[in-house]
Amino acid sequence: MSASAVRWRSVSGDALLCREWDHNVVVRNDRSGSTHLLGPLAGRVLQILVEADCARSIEELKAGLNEALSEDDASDWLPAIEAILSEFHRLGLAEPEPT
Amino acid sequence: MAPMSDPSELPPNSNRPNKDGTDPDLSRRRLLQGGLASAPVLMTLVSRPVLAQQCQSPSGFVSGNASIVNFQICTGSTPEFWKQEQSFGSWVAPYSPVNVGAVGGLSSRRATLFDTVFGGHSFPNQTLLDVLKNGGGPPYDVARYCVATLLNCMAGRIPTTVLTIPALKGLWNDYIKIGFFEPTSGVRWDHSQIVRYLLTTMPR
Repeated sequence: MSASAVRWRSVSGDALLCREWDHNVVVRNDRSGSTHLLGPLAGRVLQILVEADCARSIEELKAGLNEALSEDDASDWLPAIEAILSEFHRLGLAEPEPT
Repeated sequence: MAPMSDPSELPPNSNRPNKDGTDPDLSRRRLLQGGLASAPVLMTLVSRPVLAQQCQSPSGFVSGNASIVNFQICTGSTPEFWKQEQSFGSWVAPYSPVNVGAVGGLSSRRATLFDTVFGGHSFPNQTLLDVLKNGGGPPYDVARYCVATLLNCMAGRIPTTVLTIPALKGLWNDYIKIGFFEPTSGVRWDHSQIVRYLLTTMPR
């Protein structure tokens, strides 16, 4: 299965407390006990995942970021989103949906 | 250094102009595009309760912590704790370490027998406390940790999403009857693996 076909979900929104702070996002994860400072892009990706009612593919996440994208950027965004999701997985903020 | 604004709830998408009159879409685009070149996570503060640890259901434990969603926090105590007299007050009814006479409006209680709780005839006439105090290897080690886990479950120190008392009884009965416990199809835990798993639910 290609990376873009994997669907991602955040941990329960109840476990996450998010605050925007000077365009960055501070998120407290009650499950891990850790607090993370996310850059603007990672913060926006996490927001989309938390607000989603089901798991999202990378393409769907990219579509959710459409307000910030231009066609010229498109090729750069997919690897950036993949890197963010990989980091979220490592930190216990999100996980790929079992297939 | 410019003063930082106060933290705020994450805003919903908004097309309102910024306070300075600039296009919010343009501002947001620049910010997010800046994220392409920078680390997604700028900083992490790790804070874990001293007397708590992550734990999982037996089947989750087998899968090597593959699913973060199944992680829970357990705050159970070891057999060493539960067998001490100063811990008797932490035992949750209906289980009792010793015979207790009627006091005031409280009815009397007899020390709880292991076989009454777990079934079978593994330790005839031995109380839960007797089993906690038993030394030795298998099956005594598994029994000790099963009793401690039972008391941890009763005290709410192990989430029911990790382990329930019926599941614990099933674990014990499988082990004592056939010599192993199968947390998931095709996986067999002997006494040392069972103890190792139960220890993950009791950090203190």
